[in-house]
Amino acid sequence: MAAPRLRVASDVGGTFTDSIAYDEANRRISVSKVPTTPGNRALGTVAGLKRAVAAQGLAGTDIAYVGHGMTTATNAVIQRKGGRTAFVTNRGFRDLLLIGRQDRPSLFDLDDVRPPPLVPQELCYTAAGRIDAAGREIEPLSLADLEAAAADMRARGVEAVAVTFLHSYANPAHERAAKAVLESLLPGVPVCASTEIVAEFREFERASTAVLNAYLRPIMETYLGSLAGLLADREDGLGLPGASPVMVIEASGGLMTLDSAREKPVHTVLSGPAGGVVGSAHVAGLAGIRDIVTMDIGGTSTDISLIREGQPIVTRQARLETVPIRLPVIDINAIGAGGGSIAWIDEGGALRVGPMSAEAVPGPACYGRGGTRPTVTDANLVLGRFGPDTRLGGDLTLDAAAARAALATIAEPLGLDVVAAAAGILRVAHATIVRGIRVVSVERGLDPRDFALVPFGGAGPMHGTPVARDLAIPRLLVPPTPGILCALGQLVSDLRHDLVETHVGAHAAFAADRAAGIVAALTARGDALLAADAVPPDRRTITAFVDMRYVGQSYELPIGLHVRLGEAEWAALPARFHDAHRARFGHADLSAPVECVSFGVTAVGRIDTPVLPVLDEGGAVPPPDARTGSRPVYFEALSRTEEPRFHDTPVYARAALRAGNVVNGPAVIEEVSATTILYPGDRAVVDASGSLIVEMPA
Amino acid sequence: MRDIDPIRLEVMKNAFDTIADEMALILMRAAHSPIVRDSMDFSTALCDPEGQTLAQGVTTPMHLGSFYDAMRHLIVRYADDVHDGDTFIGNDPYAAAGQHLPDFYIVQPIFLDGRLVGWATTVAHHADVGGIVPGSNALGATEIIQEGIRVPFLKLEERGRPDAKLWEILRLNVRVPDQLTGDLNAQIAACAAARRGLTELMTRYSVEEVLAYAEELHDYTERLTRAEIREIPDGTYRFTDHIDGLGETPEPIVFEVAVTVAGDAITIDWAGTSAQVEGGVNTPLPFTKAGVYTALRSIMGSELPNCHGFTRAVTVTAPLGTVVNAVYPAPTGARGITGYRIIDCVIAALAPVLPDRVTADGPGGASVPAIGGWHDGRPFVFSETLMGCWGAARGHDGQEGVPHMGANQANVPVELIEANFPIRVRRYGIAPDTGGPGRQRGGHALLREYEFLGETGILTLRSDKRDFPPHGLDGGQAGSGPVNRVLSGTTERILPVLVTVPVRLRRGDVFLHVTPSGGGWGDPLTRDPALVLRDVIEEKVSRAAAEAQYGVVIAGEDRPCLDPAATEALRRERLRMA
Repeated sequence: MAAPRLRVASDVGGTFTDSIAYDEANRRISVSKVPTTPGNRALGTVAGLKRAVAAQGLAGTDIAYVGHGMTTATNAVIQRKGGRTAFVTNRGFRDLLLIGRQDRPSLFDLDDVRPPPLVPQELCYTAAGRIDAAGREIEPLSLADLEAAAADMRARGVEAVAVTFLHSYANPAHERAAKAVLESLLPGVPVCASTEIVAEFREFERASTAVLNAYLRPIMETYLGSLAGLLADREDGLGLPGASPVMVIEASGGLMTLDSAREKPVHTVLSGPAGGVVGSAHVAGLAGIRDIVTMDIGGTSTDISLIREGQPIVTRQARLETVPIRLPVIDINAIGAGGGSIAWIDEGGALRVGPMSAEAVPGPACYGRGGTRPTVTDANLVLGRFGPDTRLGGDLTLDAAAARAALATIAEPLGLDVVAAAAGILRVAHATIVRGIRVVSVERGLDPRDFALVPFGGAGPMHGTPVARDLAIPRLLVPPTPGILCALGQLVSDLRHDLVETHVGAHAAFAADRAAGIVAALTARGDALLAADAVPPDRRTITAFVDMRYVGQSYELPIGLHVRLGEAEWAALPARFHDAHRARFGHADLSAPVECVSFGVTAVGRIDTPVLPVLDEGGAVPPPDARTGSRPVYFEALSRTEEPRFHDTPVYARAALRAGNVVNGPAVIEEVSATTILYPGDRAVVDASGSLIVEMPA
Repeated sequence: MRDIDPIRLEVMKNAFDTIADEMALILMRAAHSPIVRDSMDFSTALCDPEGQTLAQGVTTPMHLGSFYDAMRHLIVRYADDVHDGDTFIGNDPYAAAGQHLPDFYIVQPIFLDGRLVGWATTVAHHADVGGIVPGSNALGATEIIQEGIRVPFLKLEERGRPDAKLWEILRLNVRVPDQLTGDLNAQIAACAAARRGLTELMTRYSVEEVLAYAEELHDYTERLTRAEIREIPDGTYRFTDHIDGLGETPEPIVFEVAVTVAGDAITIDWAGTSAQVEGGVNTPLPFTKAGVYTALRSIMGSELPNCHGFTRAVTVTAPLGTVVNAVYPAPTGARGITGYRIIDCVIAALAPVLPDRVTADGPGGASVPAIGGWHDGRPFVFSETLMGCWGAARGHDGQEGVPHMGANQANVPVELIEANFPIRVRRYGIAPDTGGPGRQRGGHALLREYEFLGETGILTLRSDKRDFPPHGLDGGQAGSGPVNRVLSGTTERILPVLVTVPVRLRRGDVFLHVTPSGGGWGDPLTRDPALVLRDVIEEKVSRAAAEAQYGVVIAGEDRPCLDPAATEALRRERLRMA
């Protein structure tokens, strides 16, 4: 039998599970879209993968690599479906989780009540014992308190435990001791010490992250355990060879092994959009474009992120609802406008779009599943952006009459016809997305015009041009298979471990050899983790950083370090911090003292990134079979002299386009997973990497 | 009627909001002082040529609608002397319709083709503007002259040229000149972004069209606001509230409000409110208005645009020389507490007619402890804002661990305090049995206990509601007042609510502060016994209090459970007694 040669990935969303299979031998990609199976999502995952693999004429035993992305952890938190979790902290601080950072979810809304913590109050326990900020023990840990807590937990059927003690980042001895005691008294119950997940100061954020991990352990063990079994199962499952790695995507955009994910599932929270961002960065890089704004338009929201120099921007200040997660997460701005967003008229008579959504059920009116309120998707259908015979997700036909009827409910009170109302819905939705893009770029002092816009998700490429024009972004890149880019991202990402430790101290008083020792120890730990993942030494890359700030500030900036930190580099650090501060915030104070807060390393294990297919050269003129017909498509006025109207618009099949082909707008370019709309004046060139590069007139 | 396209209106509204948002982001990004960055104590606005706000980046609710009076003042003062490239600065409550001295306004006119088409405006709380204490917010100040540098609206830049003399005077009068310069420059950068944004928008459409939609946005917001007001029954609704008073022998400061709803208009009058006091808690009228707007905003739909149209249906009047309409020389540095009380008063006045839109009274704003002194040969100042909880709402218990409506400030992590200051936090949590009993229970108070580890230090504190605890609604009982206690060895000392003379601390002294709690809603004897049991299980309510306050009998030694028969009997007995 030949060596396994298929690389596959699946991305489980709320409605659909997208899969991709890539045959390295003949560079063929196959994709599939199947309904997500709510009971056990592993079933849908395996079914989707089987279909994609079968499309290659191959079998599960041919698979060399599996990538996996999911919203399971995120949903478990939102729907409060995690395990029965207990929390242990210092005496006097039992209410730590309940109080949080004392912020409230909404400025003005009296009824917007913060959801209760993941741990109910009666499962919050305390133990005497204190460590101070320097890591010294002030009061010994009370084993008796822990034993009493364990007895109570057992009686209450606790399924997981998180332990967070004050200043454990400086000295984890009490946390480790407590974990050992609790594990011995509660066999089979996972116990997470906060510093195993994140060793940074700020007790609430660290506790919150540890609690989230404990809370997810039971449910993710069930899911990932079932998935591992089904993937390996030769009878009912995929029959994956035992040596083929299974990787899960993290919120940072990196990968972790399935075994790590069972241990630290908190890394998969908020990972849903990560694959798409990594996939975008990869395909844009293949076309030589390294600074992009990604725009992932889904059913209920649009996820926006920035990629600079080919790298996603990663933050460690994410939250899910009101639960902070102090782990690296791709910085994504989620806007409440998507294909399913509902258009409505408010009491003042203005047309609004979202944030309410028709969701998957009943879905937009044109889905014909009982939805009666007009959505962005209905507007797209009436304006000809979807063809009358478009099938969404492969088999869903669209009902134009239902869309028109829904649109009429807002057109009438606005005194408009249905078409004008539909065009209005798109303009309002675009304005919302434009605002979201401006926020992420301006907040970082960047000008969106210096970026290319990368629209993806099933609905993204339909809205790329008008959004780019509103932002004066001159260039658009539409990736190949934009509807399943998340799954693609899992094929091109790398294995990643992030380690951070807090060591606060003024830089002037921080000895270079102490800093070097901290970095060396973190590097060794990162290296050991990659070794445990079976990454060969020549594929390991470890980078280091130190979070710094001016004394008195409460926010930090990461400054890159060499893993072998030398004295000269350490001495020059304040100057680099001043530069970074100026770049990020517009000013620096050369005379102000600078302090170090946390040290970290990112350990990356490079996996075999597949070489994606390259299109054959085809000259400027598309082949005749690429043009599949034409239909009337409505375009709003692009200049003051022009009238908005329907244009007879040629339709192209993307699969038939060749490298170098030029398509001038107006045009529709269709493929299985998405439809790209080119406006009059747009000029799209097909890149050899498969992306469409669209230039817009200034 | 203008020819208005409702879709273009929404697009324009979004464009105005985007400009105000960008101003806020740029200001936050470029600001130097933590107070701007972390407490978000600043606001930005894009205004029309008349100085009416089109969009406001609201980061601090109590800045809502606070630009108009200042802008009118500026426009009247400078009339025809406004030019492209001018930058105006001002902070004085009396000479510039400002708020208090730390809040500096920076304003730039926006010109297009030689025509004034709008204004870019910002206001930010500066860390220090001089005066008798660092931070410029002394409770003990007796006249505004003591509080720092006073600036009427002046040109910091004239036609693009900075006024070096003015910069020099400003820098000379504050404790950290570089911070002032840095934060003022951040405000100037935010204004520049608004100029760029508005002129781009007007180039894309036209000046006339944008201004027509600006006017329509005011009208649209006014329509929405008046529609909300129409839902409130006509009538005059009154309420009296208090601040306990200053220092060791406090005299109550009385707030009298009369809220008159007539059709689609609302008037808030403060006749009967105490005369201004010799302490920093007075507010100028613009800040009183901002408090009123915030309170009204909170009881209306949260989708209302933050534009001037909102204020057209709202009239605020107050006699001159009162704590809510102070005149020279009243000090205003610590006027935040009065702002909180203004919000509380308006909400309380409307409570009887809008029971579903309000909560019972809460702690009345942040408690602000500050500990300063010397440690390891260096001076230090620690200060934080402790926010407790809210009163109960008709539909749910009072929230715990959330800030007052008027503010939006996070607490300081214990690990941060202990790493940076000679302070150990010994306890931080919810104080049991403090929430005002009711069918819906008021939020419980927060307690924080600090042990002082330095050589010598001083403690000051701003708190309130000991003499006038947070009231309940509809039969709900009042919440509890604050506890301010210093334990020095075995000697215990109870501090006043508003400490005007700093208290000495020695190593090992323990300062306990318990915030006020929230009032309850409805008769506590009608509270669902299962909810009382939940509170007992969570150790928020003791078994004794369950019986005494709620008439609920809890059985079970280790595992609390309800005794339904005993509960029913006890409640029947209580009702008979009543």
